[in-house]
Amino acid sequence: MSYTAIILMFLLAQQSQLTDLPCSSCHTSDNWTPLASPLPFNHDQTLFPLRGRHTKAACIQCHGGTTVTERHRFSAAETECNSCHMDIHYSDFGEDCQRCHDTESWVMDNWWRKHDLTLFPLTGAHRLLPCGDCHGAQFSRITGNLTTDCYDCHTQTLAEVISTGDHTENTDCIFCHNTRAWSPVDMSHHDYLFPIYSGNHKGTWTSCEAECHIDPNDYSNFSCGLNGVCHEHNESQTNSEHDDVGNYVYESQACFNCHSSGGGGD
Amino acid sequence: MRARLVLTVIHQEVEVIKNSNIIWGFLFLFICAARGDTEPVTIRGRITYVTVDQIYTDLGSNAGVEIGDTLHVLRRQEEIGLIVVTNIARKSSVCSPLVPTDVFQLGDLVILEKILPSSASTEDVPETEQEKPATEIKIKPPRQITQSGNLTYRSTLSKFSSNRSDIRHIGTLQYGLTITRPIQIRVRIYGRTILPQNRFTFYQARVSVGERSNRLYLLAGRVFTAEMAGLGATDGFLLRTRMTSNTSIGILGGFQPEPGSLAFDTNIKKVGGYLHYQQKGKILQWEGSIAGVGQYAANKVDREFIYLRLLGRIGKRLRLALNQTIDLDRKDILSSRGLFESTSNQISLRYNPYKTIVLSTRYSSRRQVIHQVTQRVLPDSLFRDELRAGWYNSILFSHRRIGTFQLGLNIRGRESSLTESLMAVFQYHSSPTAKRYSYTFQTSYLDNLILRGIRGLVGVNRDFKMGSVYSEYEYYSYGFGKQIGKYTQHTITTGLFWRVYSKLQVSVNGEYSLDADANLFYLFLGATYRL
Repeated sequence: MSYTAIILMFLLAQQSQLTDLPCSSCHTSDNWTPLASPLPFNHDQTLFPLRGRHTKAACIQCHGGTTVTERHRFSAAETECNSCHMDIHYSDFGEDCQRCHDTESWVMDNWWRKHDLTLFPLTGAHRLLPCGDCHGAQFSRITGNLTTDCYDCHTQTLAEVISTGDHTENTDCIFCHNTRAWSPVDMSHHDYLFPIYSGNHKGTWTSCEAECHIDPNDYSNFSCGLNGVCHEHNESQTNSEHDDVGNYVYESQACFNCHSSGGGGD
Repeated sequence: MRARLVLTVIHQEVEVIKNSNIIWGFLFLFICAARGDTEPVTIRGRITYVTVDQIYTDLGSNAGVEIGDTLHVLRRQEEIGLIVVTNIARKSSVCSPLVPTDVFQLGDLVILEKILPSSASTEDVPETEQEKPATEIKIKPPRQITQSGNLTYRSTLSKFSSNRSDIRHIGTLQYGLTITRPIQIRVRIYGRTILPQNRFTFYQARVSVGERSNRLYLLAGRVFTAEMAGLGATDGFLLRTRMTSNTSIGILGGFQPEPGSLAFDTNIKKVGGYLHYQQKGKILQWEGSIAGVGQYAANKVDREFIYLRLLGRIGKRLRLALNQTIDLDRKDILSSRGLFESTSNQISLRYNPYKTIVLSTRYSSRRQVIHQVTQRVLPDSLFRDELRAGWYNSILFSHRRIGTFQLGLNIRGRESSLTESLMAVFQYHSSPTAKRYSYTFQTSYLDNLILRGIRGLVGVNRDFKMGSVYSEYEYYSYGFGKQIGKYTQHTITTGLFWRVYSKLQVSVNGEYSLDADANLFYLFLGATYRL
């Protein structure tokens, strides 16, 4: 996105007016102080709704200043956590404290819930691991170079299975495994490559090797039913159906190139 | 009116000029005027009379006090309340208390701290007032040493269905010491111990001299500055100096910290400098900075980058933030990249069209950064959390009585992934009822290469005078690939948060999670004591 456009928009928007709050939002007609109780002003309508301990804080703790005028410039108050609170992590974990903490207390008593709101919810075996298994000793990898790629944590596991000679060097673990256990193999992600759990091929196969992956030692060698197992893909019928298709050849890779989603009309 | 105080000071200096060299006198005047916009002055007086709802003091306009000023009231060096000037005469003022008047007594000390403008000139003050000597003016904050911080203890028990269990006891200390005289010095330390090893480890320590608003501000120890965010923490120093009221520069130097201790690696050096500018008008407020940062290992360039940052606010409706990191690849180690490569960008906008509605949008993009010598791989120089990259949109509706609704949507694409990640969240927090009950409902949908799932949560919270209790139930239904609902996970949580008294807080939380073939019990006990 062009920064220039944003800055232009920013400058044009300067015509906006700052509307001060009416005095009655906080004060009574009897006297300036004490403030009205309960306060008529709804802080939830600002960019910083008050929750938890913030509801107990005195207004002046955030709306500071050396004069009454400055303290009444409410919109000047910062809304970032680190504008009031010291970040003991020195921003190593980012500036969004609410990812882990809440306004009730800095102590994290239900951190699991926070993880569920990330793109890597703790399911299956991951739910049962001590934090340090992924995040390192003393949480040195809360974020940093920690990614959602399986091999980022399972480097050793991958190296071990590759060394046996019975496993490919493919690092996309999720295409054959899930987060619950290494075995049994879970091919649920096959639909991202070729739909077999949905569409025309749902329920039409019995095992990986029986119909498609004719070479159990090389799963990249597949057949689109050209081995005679799938009756609708016999050569004469298929040739007849493709007599108007240029560069047509009766070959599995060519089938896949045009029919990657498994549909006849692709 | 503010100018008068400065001018009374200047007037005193004029008397000095008469008896010495004129040039030195002008120089002295210049220095005094220059100091005026940087040094807060403290005006001291006494309470002279107390009524049911008004406080009288001996500070008047001659002392530089104005209507609307807030005075601190102290007794035996302890602040006992604040009063606001409502009427003023030359030698006295009438004030309205911000706390009940019965705490105030005749003779209590009143203090006004003000930062004086530098543009004052003698023409602004009537001749009669120039001739009057100022009331006692001293730069003397009321307190000399203050302490802050907290001691925290937490104990967790995790018990898994596989009969594995994990018990931890952790104590942390966060401590701050502030000395305000003759210059402000702050010391901050943070450490923790994992019991029963009884080995206390300091994680963070730093000392600051001065304040950010001062002409000179020094940080030493484990330092971090938002103007050079991509560099992370550094064990070294940060020196910031304010060139004008709007402009400041800073330099940083030091070494790569070791995580989890105060040790650092002297083989990895960090240096950087930045220029910061800010302007705060009534309608438009903005600040921006540009930083050049370098990290060097074995006397070779490990990484060099430029970091740009812009924050702006228009009125109270619109808020904008821009961040950009541009890496310099001098040796072309990253073969696919040019000399200047934008490695991370973020733009966020918040718009508040009505009092009850807040619209937010944020776009983050980034590329992986590889350090050229240490070969460290950072997914990002600015947005360290990979899980938050992408395009995020949110709409929030908040009503005092109805509660707060929020709908958020995050979309993220990766070059290496077959599918985009999509996460949608809807949540509702009710306003507390008359019986102090409040309710929470959350639901989210996640679809990425790892799994596809729906999550729902309902919770109830009951506030009481000294804390709160809550209970929640969470349901997670998920599957792998393009499946959904193949597995379910149920979690029940209940907890108590109790402020035993103002300095001591205790929290207890129990959680039971049940999956198709595993379950987990988790107990948390925590206590925080504020120093």
